[in-house]
This record gives sequence, structure tokens and C-alpha cells, in this order.
Amino acid sequence: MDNPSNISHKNFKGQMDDEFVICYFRKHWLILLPTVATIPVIFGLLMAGLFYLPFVNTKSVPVAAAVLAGFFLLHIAIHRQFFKIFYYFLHTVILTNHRIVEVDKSLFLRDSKNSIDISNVQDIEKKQSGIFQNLLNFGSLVVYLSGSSAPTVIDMIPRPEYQYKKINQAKADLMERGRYPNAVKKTEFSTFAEGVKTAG
Amino acid sequence: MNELIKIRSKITFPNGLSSDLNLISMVFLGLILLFQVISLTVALLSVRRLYSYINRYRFTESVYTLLFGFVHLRYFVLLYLAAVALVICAESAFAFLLFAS
Repeated sequence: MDNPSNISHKNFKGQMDDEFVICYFRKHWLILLPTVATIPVIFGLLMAGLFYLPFVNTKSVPVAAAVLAGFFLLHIAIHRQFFKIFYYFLHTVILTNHRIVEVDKSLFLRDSKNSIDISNVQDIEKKQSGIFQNLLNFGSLVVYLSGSSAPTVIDMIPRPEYQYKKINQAKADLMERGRYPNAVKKTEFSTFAEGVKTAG
Repeated sequence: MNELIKIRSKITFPNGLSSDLNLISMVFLGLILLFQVISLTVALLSVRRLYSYINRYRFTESVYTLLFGFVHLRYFVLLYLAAVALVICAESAFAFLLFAS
């Protein structure tokens, strides 16, 4: 598993050479709470099953079939719940100096990516409403893109204020790097403003 | 030798069971084995895929694997493997009871 040839120097599949990660986040832990809460139930059922197993009448075919069906369901429940947890860990939203990438990856069934170029971001809206969202500090970001395309909503974001600032900062940095041909660099503007001030 | 014959006869013809019920027991045992093999394979394959992905595309380990700020991913992996092993043990115990009865 730790074979050096398998280790990439990239943080996600499809990362460009000049691209670096500014920050990344997963969905808020609240969406995982129901799944995590079922794990003690699964273990409780297992323990109860082990405790009552000697008292089961195995000579009765329907009883034995019911126990077998119970085991089958338990297998399904364990794999399903833990796959959900692993999906939570693998599903990340990554902010790089070029784009916002949502890596929708699960162990077997999903491997999708949705990316928004920072230069296409026209406006960002942070939404955090209600007691729970403010108390547990999560919300959603609405990313408005230039052109007529529909805005992209990233919901259940932890610490939305921080992510909002980071995206704005990444956009400002991109402008400063001169990705936009008509953009005035911050340093140039400061020099210009200083000149005006002195002249005034 | 007599003991061995006794054990063998008990497995082949469990006490007081008709031949139909014996067949049903064999079907149950087959199903239990099938569940166990599939479950174990899926669990090992999942853990292998998970770690190969995490090792390939690394984030800062302490940040990447934490949930609620303190729960590491490996705790969940251990819980997962423990749960699968526990079900397999319980099923094996059930299979033993099925044949010992």
C-alpha cells in the first residue's frame, strides 16, 4: 500500500503542474451524524445476537432461516454504513489557485469531478440562515459565474465565512497575477493613488 | 477410532434430523459460507482501495483524516473490520449450533 511508485505528489486526480491547493473542506459533520449514530446500534445488535444465539431453536427451519436473514441484513447494514463514512472522507471540495474542484469520489461507484475556473467566478454569496446553521457554523456558498450559466451551489459547508474569504482572496490573487488582461494590478493602483494624493 | 466414527456420523447424520433437514442444514451452511467470503472480500477490497487512494493523493494527514476534530479515519477502518469479523464469528457460531443440534 505504501509503495513509493503509488504515491503521487498531487493532492487530487487531474491537478495541474502549476496548481497548488489553498484550502479544502468536506461537508459539515452533521450530515454524517445519522450514519455514525447507527454504528452503536449495529454493534448492539451483534452483541445481542451473540448473547441469544445459544437459546435459538436451530431445529426449527423457519427460525434458522430468520436468523440467517438477520445475518444477511447485518452484513448489508455494516457495509452500507461504513461506505457512507468513507464516502464522507473522500468527497472533498478543493480550492486551488486556479479553480474550485469538487471531488465526488466513493470507493466503488463514483469518481466524478466538477470544477469552476476562478476566472469565471463573477460573484459569491454566502448563505447561513437559521439557528442550527449559525450555532454549528455551517451554510452554503452560491457561486455566480460570468455568462448566463446557472449559479453553482455548494451546500453544508463548514465555516462558510472562511471559505468565502479564501475564494475571494484566490480571485483577487488571480486578478493581480494578470490573468485578466484589462485588470489593474493592486500595486499599480496603489502607485497611481499615491501619485494622485501627492499631486493633490 | 470409535470417537472419530461418532463425530463423523454426527456431522453426516445429525442426531434426530431427517435427511431433508440435513439438506436444509447444508444449504444454510453454504449460504453462511457465501456471506462470509463475500463480506470479507468486500471489506478487504474496500480498505485496500481507500488506503491506496489516500496514499496516492495526500493531504496533510492530521487534517485529512480527522472527523469532529479528533476522530481519525483509521478508527473507522478498525471499527469496520471489527464489525465484519464479529458478524463472521457470530455466523460461524450459528453454523456450529446448527450442526451440533
